[in-house]
Amino acid sequence: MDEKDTVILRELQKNGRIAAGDIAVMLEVDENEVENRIAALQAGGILRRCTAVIDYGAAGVDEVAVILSLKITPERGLGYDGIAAQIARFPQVESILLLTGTYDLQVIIRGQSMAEVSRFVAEQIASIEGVRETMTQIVMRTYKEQGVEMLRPGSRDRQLITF
Amino acid sequence: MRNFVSRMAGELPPSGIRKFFDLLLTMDNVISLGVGEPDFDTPWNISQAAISSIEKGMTMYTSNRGLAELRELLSADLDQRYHTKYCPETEMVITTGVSEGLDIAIRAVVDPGDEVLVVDPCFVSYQAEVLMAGGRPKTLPCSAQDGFKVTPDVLMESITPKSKVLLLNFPTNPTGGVMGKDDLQAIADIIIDHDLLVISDEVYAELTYDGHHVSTAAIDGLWERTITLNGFSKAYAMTGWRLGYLCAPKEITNAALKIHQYVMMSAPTASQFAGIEALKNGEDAKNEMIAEYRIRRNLFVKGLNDVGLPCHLPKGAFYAFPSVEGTGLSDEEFAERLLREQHVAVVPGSAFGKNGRGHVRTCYAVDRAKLSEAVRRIGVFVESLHS
Repeated sequence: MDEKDTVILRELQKNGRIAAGDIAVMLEVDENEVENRIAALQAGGILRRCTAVIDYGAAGVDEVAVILSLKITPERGLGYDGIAAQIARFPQVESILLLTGTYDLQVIIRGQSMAEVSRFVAEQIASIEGVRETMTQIVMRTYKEQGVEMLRPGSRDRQLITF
Repeated sequence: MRNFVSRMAGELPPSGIRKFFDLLLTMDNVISLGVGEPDFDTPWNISQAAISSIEKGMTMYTSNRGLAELRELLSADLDQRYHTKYCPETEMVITTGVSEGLDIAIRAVVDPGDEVLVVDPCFVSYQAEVLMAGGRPKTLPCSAQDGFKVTPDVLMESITPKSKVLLLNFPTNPTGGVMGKDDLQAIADIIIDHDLLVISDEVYAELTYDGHHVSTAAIDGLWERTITLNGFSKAYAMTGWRLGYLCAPKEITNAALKIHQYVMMSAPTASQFAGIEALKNGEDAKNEMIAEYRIRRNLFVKGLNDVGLPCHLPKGAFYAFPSVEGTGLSDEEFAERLLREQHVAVVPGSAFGKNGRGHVRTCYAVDRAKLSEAVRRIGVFVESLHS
């Protein structure tokens, strides 16, 4: 990882669809170099996936997200990792974070309805051995996601002509 | 009723881009590359500092010179960044933007009939400011071949016995040209030999992409004959805050301060608190914006060249100044037709002086998606001229 790799990662994070040619112009290098660097970042497990930030609400799609906080009894030899890995395998789980404080894991889960998410939490997560306590909070609105402010328009009006 | 308008105001030439106003107002979906300002928000910590100052009731005038803390921070910043030393108590004035700094600088030193050498092409206000002070602007032609720099030969040819002030602006609006240490040193002896004063507008200093900005006052022998102007607008995305500063030897600063206190009292107080926060904690956000401008410059200039508008790589500011001569249109015709036919606003180069003819000024402080769409539309327009 050097400064150029950092720029490549930042650009891909902002826009996963950006062309390697454009990154090459930005960095003042040739396109092959950018492609090789992207390939190396993928091979090294640094660049995991280029994804999109979607405002489903704006698209009129009803979706439910909950933040599930868990108290865990760490497993001998594995600590929190074994249980986190079990939870991570479910496609409904969007993220898992290990935290300090009252709860150990914070899990974000998305689903089509509250009933679906509730069932998933009760049947699949709460029943995992080692999960001692759960607290579920419903996400009412997303204001910022992956650095994107959802309430702000893409661009602001400004005067067309000044000096 | 008699005509109450003063002769000076009546004779002042209107801005060369004025005629686009009416046309623009009737159009939708215009991508404007005509605006010389960052498209970023002011970093939030900077805005928050101003809000806090208002909440605390700091809403009175400040000292005419500006808040002492701001001047002290600026003095240290200029020393560290550009190796120029100014005493915050006697050699600095906080102004209402660089625009006011320019006005009071010129009025502090120009007597009626004095000649002010102005780089051509240059920012549209310069000649007007000289005229408003009763001075006589004299243009100093710069060309793309010379990277829009001031060369010793051209400077020598332009100086007359009436020449008193040389007005420099590097990096330059509208060309993006810069003057390095060698370039400034090459003209320093001429400036000293002809006993000229330099007014150096360095508001784009931090937007220098290749190498570091060299301040005119840092050149041997020039500090004592230079008024340095700078501000927060461009580097910190603070155009609307109207915050600038003037630095010069004590006797010139005192003269400028007298004019400042009669016409402006002091710079906006909340803006000065924002400026303090910018200097204390604005470095990272500023560097991120500058890195983004550099990326846009590279993409945009390549795009312009690819669609058939030859453009040198500007080394500073956030303007590209492509030639439109190959299209067969004058720069004014080009700008007007591009606006009418493709809804892209650019400024004809001749608005910035005779030597701007055949070019258009485009500002790439526009988000990348719009910039890319603007290049596409310019390409369609240029193509249509050839078919």
